[in-house]
Amino acid sequence: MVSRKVPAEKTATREELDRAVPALTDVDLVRLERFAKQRIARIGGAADVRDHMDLLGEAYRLTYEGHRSWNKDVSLLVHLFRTIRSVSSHWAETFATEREQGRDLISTNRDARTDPPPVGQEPVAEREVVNHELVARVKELFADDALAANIIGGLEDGLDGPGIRKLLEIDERKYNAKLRAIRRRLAAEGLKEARKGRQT
Amino acid sequence: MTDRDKRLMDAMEQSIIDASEEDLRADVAESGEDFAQVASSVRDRLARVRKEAQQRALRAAREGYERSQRAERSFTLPPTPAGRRELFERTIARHPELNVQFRDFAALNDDDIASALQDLFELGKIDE
Repeated sequence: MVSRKVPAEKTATREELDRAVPALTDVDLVRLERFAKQRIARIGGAADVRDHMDLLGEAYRLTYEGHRSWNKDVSLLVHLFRTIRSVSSHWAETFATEREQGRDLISTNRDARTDPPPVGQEPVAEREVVNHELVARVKELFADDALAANIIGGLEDGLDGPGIRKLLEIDERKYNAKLRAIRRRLAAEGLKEARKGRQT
Repeated sequence: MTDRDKRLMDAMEQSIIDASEEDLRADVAESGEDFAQVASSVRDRLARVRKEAQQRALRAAREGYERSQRAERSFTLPPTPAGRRELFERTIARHPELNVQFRDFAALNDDDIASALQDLFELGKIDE
């Protein structure tokens, strides 16, 4: 595999990749699927009708074809998290650029887009197209749920799980259950927007 | 996107990375999905991507090989400018898809035509 950043001796070969993929557990695969869903939720319509499975597939394709080197210092799972994040940011960046340049919003040649830059070489001031309206809508859906609203507020303030649990005097089980509900709602709303495409 | 939005979305993503197996299983169950089924769909997608990438690589290799084979075969240009132009026009007429690329061929000089014929030969467009 060709690498622009990862030293050759640390870059996984295709054979190593072929051995590592079957070794991913069901838990790893579900974690990747859930993570990709959150990334699609984050960029919404900028996903341009692509869904979380397309995102996951693209991250793997780039790795398999050697456009994204897997540095063996990290696990394949971590590499795929990073690549999924980077690819979705690239989609959002492309969307923002095209919108700024006033191009036709309905792309007819999506396959011609460039591959994202290697991990670690993304633009510093990444213009992520996180849909503020989507976040606002989800918050509104939980407006009558004081616990959910407080957890969202805490996370927005930059608090971590233990900090929020302490503040709200709730146990981990209760916190995790509510967090899952918020996460699912965000993912569902985001996927809905992604499927609508660039009209959003 | 506000900083508050970003912090919220970052926390959501991190919560998946940090989630325990029990938490992930609960997430899937509460979504009405089957854990093994979700995992299997991801596994299938990865296998499909791999297969498609292999097919693309194979196709590219085959095309490269065929091109090099054609290039290795001797291609003798017609000896006269009129002969070269006649072969060029015949080839374009036989492959209408080339009309766009060579629509202004009346303006091409003999060197251009000789070079275009070589390219067309390598592309397999010239039937000898």
